Amino acid sequence: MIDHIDDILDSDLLERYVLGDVSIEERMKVDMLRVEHAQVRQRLREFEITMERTAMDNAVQLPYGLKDKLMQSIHEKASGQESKVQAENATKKKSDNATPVRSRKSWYYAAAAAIIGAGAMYGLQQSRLNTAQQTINTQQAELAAVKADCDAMALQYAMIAHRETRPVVLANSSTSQKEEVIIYWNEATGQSLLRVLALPKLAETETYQLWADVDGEMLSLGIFDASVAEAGYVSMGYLDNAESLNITIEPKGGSDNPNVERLRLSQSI
Amino acid sequence: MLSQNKYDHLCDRLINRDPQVIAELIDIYGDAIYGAILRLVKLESVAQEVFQDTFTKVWQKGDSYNPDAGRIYTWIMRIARNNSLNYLHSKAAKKSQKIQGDEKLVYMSDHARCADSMECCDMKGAIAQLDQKYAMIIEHIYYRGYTHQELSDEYNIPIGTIKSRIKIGLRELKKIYDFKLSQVVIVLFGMMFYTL
Repeated sequence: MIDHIDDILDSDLLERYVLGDVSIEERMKVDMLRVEHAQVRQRLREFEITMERTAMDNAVQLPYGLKDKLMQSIHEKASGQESKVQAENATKKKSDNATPVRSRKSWYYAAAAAIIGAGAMYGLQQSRLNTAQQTINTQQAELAAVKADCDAMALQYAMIAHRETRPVVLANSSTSQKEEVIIYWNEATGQSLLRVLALPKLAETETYQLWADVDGEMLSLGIFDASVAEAGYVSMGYLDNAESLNITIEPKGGSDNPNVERLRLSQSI
Repeated sequence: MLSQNKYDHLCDRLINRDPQVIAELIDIYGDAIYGAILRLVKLESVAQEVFQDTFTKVWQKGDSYNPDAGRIYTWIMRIARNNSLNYLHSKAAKKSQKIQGDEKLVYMSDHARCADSMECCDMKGAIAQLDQKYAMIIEHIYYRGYTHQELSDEYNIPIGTIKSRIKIGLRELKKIYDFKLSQVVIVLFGMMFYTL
């Protein structure tokens, strides 16, 4: 999941992103990398300007009157005079709805034919149907799992892309092993997401715990598994008026009070 | 290109959904966006419809624009591209319904059907100076809505080759613009030196 930034810059991902030739997952990945890495922001900006200039070179003059027509429509919408547009939308919706009804009818006929056929060949087909049903069940379960993953990713993406979200980087380069964590902190929505960029693996009897310093008191925002948070984003707790975020190593299950002697990372917000 | 101050002011007004900012955005980016849409959908009547829909969405969704997530042109172009591809996909769906049942008919892709002769399709500027093998890839992906997979299938070019041509092509394109900019700077210095 964690790619070295040089590998990303050397790959074709950013170029394809600017040209619009990326999957949803790739797009989300680049959007996150843009937030986290200044080099990515710089490279994307350069490519965006390049394509902007290319588009300017290949501009085609707007047909006469199109701008005025569009502006009139926008001003009408802005002042609430949308009757004509609403009427058009209503007509469009009616015609849009007509297709599924026809389509549904076709499906009913197809289903009826399938049932009659299946009845006639019941004995022979029973075992095949069972197998097919099992396959469908498995695929439906897989589909539901993928959909749930996508929904979760979309929520995380929305949170990270939110205008009020701030990336808070907790890093320590003084030790021999690199320690770096990024926390997306949003005071407007009261959410936080944590992602581990680098943290040493702990013994099985220990865990990392995130703390917020609120009015001089360290309050827990939850524990996290470094390997899980390295593979993806982990939702953590949120507290208003937090002045800093801190990560300590605690006994497995977490502690009520932080072990300040084992404070690993700290960053004011 | 706009000055940074003017650009930032434009961003603020877009986010605040100022209707008048749309007129300014059309003045700045309208022809470029319209050219891109026309290359994607090929028909002027459709391009006009997609253009209007695009800028209506730009106004309606202006408050969701995040300047940190890309330039205004990129954001508008993404909306325009999605609208254009939605039109092409709906057109392809209608077409495939019509030809359903006739196995002898080979399905023609949106691209093949739309890539008819149009004067506007000749690329101009820096992209026309690129090596043809790079220009073709960028043009097909950015201005015709192909994915690298579709390009590979239709032109029988290995995926790896397409991806490396995308990478090299875009970097070469940037170099051409950087070189042009340096020439402008040299000319300006020359003029200053001459007047002094």
